[in-house]
Amino acid sequence: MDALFTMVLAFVGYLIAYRLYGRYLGSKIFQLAADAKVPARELQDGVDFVPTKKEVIFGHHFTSIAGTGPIVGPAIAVIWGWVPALLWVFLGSIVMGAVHDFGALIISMRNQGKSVSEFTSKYINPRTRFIFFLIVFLELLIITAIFGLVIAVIFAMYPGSVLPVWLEIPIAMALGWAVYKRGASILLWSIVAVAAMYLTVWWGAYAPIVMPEIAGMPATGTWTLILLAYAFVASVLPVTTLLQPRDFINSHQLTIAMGLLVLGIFVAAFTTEMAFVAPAIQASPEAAPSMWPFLFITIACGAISGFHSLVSSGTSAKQIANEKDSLFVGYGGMLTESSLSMLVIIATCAGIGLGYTTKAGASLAGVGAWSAHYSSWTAAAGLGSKISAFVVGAANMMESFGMPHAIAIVIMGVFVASFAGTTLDTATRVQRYVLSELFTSLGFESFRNKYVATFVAVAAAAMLAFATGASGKGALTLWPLFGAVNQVLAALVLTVITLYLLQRGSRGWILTAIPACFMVVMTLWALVINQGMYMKQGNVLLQIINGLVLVIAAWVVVEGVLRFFAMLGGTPTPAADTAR
Amino acid sequence: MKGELLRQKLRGWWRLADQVARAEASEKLEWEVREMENIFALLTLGAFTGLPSPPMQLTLELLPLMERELLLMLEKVDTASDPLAELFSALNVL
Amino acid sequence: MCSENAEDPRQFFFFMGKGGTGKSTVSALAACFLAARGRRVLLLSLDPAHNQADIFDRPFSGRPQAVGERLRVAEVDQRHWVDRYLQSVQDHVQRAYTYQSAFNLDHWLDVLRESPGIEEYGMILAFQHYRRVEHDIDVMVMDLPPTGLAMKFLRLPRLSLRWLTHLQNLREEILRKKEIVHRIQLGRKELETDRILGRLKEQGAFYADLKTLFENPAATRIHLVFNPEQLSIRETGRICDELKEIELERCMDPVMNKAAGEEFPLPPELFPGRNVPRLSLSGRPLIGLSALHGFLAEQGERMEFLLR
Repeated sequence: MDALFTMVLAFVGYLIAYRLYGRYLGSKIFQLAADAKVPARELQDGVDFVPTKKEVIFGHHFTSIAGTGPIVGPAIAVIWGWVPALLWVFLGSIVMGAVHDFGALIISMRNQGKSVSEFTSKYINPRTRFIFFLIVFLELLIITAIFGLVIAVIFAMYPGSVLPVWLEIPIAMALGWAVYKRGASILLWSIVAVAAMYLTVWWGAYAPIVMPEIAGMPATGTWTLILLAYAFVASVLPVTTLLQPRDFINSHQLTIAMGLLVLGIFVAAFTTEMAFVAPAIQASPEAAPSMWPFLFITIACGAISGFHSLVSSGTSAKQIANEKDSLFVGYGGMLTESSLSMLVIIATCAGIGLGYTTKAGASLAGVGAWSAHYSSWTAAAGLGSKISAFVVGAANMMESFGMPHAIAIVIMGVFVASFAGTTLDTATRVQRYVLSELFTSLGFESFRNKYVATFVAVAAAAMLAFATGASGKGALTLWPLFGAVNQVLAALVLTVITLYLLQRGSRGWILTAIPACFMVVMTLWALVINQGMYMKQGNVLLQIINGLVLVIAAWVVVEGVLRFFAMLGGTPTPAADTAR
Repeated sequence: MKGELLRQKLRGWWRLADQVARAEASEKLEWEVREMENIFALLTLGAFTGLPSPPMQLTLELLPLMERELLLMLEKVDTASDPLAELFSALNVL
Repeated sequence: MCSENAEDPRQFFFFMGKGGTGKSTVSALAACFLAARGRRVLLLSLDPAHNQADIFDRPFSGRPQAVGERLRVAEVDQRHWVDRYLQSVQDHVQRAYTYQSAFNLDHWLDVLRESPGIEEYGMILAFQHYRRVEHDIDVMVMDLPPTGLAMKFLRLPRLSLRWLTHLQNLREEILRKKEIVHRIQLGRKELETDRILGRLKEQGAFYADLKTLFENPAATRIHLVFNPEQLSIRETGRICDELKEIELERCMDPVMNKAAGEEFPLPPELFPGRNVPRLSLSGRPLIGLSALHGFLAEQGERMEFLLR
C-alpha cells in the first residue's frame, strides 16, 4: 500500500507544485504575459516559426526529453535507498529541473527563438559557443557508448528481448513504406505496427536468442559491437526509412509502458503484499561511490538535465503561440518525465520485492530480492542488475493484473532497448555533424566525408565502451560520467537564467542561483572524486575525458561568477533583449 | 447533461491525441522537407551567395517565384551557424 | 516555345572557326551560293565583331535587309538581347516580391551583364527569335563568334538540361514529401500546383527542343572553318573532340579555307573517310557583293557540299 500511497502523493505533489510554484515563477518571476510578442507569431513563416497548440508542442517536447535516461538513472541510484532517490527526483525536478527547462524555453522565446548556445554566448561571452560544442561532443560520445552497453546488457540478461528489438527494424521500415511511400492511413498502420511489436514480444518470450562467447569476448562485448555497427548503418539512412517510423512507434510504447506501470502499481497495491523492501537509506553500499555527491549525478534526466535546454530552445521555442503556454510545455514536460522516474523508483524498490529468481535458480522475495541487485555497486552484473531490478520489478507489478511474467519482462526490456536504440541512431547523426565541424575547422578535410565522420564517431564510442571492460560489468563507471557532463551543462544554463533575471532587475534570480550553485558544487565534487578513482585504476581514456569535463566545469564556475559580479556591479550586458 | 459533457470532453481529448500523433508521425519528415527546400534554394539562388550555380538564366527564370525560398535561405543561415538545438529537438536525440 | 522540328523543312548552317580563318567570309560566300542556287537565305551574324558589314560593305542591323535576290542579312546585337532579358526579369521580380524583398536589382543588372553565362544566353534568345519569326526561308546561315563563345553557345542547351533535370527531380521529391506531410496532418491528399516546377518544365522543354535541333544532322550543320597550317589543324582537332563530347559530331562539316596551290596533307585521324572541301585563297579582297559573286564564279563548285 505504501507504494501506491507514494505514487498518488507524488502525483498530487507535482500538480500542486505546478499550480503553485510553476505559476508563481511564470507570472511573478518571468512575468509571462498572454499578449506578449512571441517568435512563432512575429517571425511566422509557415516553416520553422509556426504557432502551435500547446498540447502538440508538449507531445513532441516530452517524447524528445523522455527516453532511457529517466529510467536507468533512478534504477541505479536506489542503491542508496529509496528515500534519497525519491526526494531528489521529486524536489529536484520541482525546484531545479523544471525551472531549468522552463527558463531555457522562455529566454529562447524572448530572443527570437535563438538556441541556448547563442543566448548563452550573449549573456556570458562568445567563447561559450566552443564550450557548448565540446560538451555536446563529450556527451554524445558517452551516450553512444553507454546506451550501446545498456542494450547489450539487456540482450545478455533477457535473451527473449533480442528478437523483438531487432524485428522492430523491419516493422518500422514497413510502417515507413506504407505511410510515406504508399500513403496509407497513419492511424490504421500505427495500430498494426504496435500490435505487430507486441506479437514479436510474445514470440520473443518463447524464442530467446543467446549470444555465445566468441573468441574470448563475452556476449555483451559482441552485442555492443553489433549495436555500434547498427548505429553506423542506421545513421546514414534517410530519416523516413527507419528513424521516423521507429520514433513514432516508440512514442506509443512510452504511453503504453507508463500506463502499464501505473496500472500495475495500482492493482498490485490491492492484490499483493507489495511494499517498499529497499532500505530507506543505504548510505554506504559496498564499492559504491558515496551518496553525496553521486546521487545528484546519477539521476540526471529524472531530476534535472542540461540537455533538455537544447530541446527547449530548439523547435519548442519557435512554436509557442502564447507566452503562458510555456508553463505547460517547459515546466509541465519536465514534471511528467520526473513522474516516470518516480514510477521507476517504485518498481525497483517495491515491485522487485514481489519476487526474483536468480540465475542459480534461487527464489528470493522481499529485501533479499532487492539486495540481490543492490547490495553492492557491482552486485551480480553491475549495470545489468540495476536495469534488471526495474524490468523484474515492473513485470512483477504487471503480473498482478494478469499479464504473464515472461511477456511483461520482454515488454519492459524491449521498451528500454527501443529508446536506447533510437538514441544510438540520432546521437551518431548529430555526432557526425559535430565531428565534421570540429575537425574540418582544424584542417582535417577528410571529415567532410560523412562516412569518415560517422566511422570515427562510432569507433570512439566503441573504444570508450570497451575501456570499461568488454563484459559490461564496468559499464556502470560510465554512467556518472554521463551524468556529470549533463549536470555541467545544466549548471551553465541555470547560471544564464540567473544572469537573465538579474539583468531584468527581478529579485527572483536567487531562485535559479541556488540550484546553479548546488549543481556546480555537486558536479565538481563528483568529478574530482572520479578523477582520483580513474588515476588509481590507471584508466587513461576515462582520465582524459573526465579531466576535460573538470576543466569545462571549472571554466563555467569562473566565467559565471565573474559575469554575475560584473552584473551586480552594474556592467550592462553586450546586447539588451528587445524591450523586455 | 453530464453524459453529454463527458462525451464532448472525451472527443476533445481524442482529437488532441490524434493531432499529437499526426505531428509526431510527420515531424522529422517536415524537417527533412525544409532542409531539401533550403538545398533547392541554395542550388538555384546560390549565385547570389557565391556558390556554383546553374547557368545564370535558369536562376533568373526562377527568381520571381522563389520569394519563400529566399526567405527560408536567409533564415537557415541562422540555423546553419548553430544547428545543435534544432538537431537535438528535431531528431529526438535523448 | 513550340517544337518546330517535326515538319520544319528549314536548315540551319553554323559556321565556326578561330579568328582569322576567314569563317565570316566563308559564311557570306555560302549564303550567296545557296541564294544563287534558288534557296531563300537569311544570313545571321552572331559574332560581336560583326564582320558582315565589312564584307558586304554596307551597314546591317537587327532587322534583316535584302542583299540581292533571295538573300537577307541581319546582325544580332547581343547586348540588346541580354539587356532586354534582364529588364524583363527585373519587371517580373518587382511584381512578384513584396516590397521587403525587392532590393537593389539595378546593381545586379549591371553586374549580370558581365556574368559568364549571359552572353551565350543572349545568342540563344536571338537565335530562337529569328527561328520563330523567319518562316519564309529555306536556310539560315549563322556566322558564329570565335570558338570559345561559339562552343558555349552550342553547349548551353545540354548543360542547362542537366541542371534542369536535377532541379526538377529535387523539386518533385520535395513536393512528394510535402504531400505526405499534408496527408498525415490533414488526412487528405492535396495536389499543389507548384509554379516553380511548372517553370522548370517549361525551361526543360525549351532546351530539349534546341538540343534536339542541334543534334539533328538533317536540319543542322556545323561547319568548322580552318586553314592549312599546323596550329589551325590542331585546334580543329580539339574542337572536333569537344563536339563529340556534346554529341554534335554528326552535324560537323569541315571546310578548309585559304588553301594554297599544293595539296596540303591532313592527318588521317582528323576527318577519317571524308572529303574535305578546300577553298583557295582569293586573288582579290572579297569586299562587296560583286566580289563575292566573282569568287563563286571561279570556285563555286567547291561549295557543292552545302547542297548535301
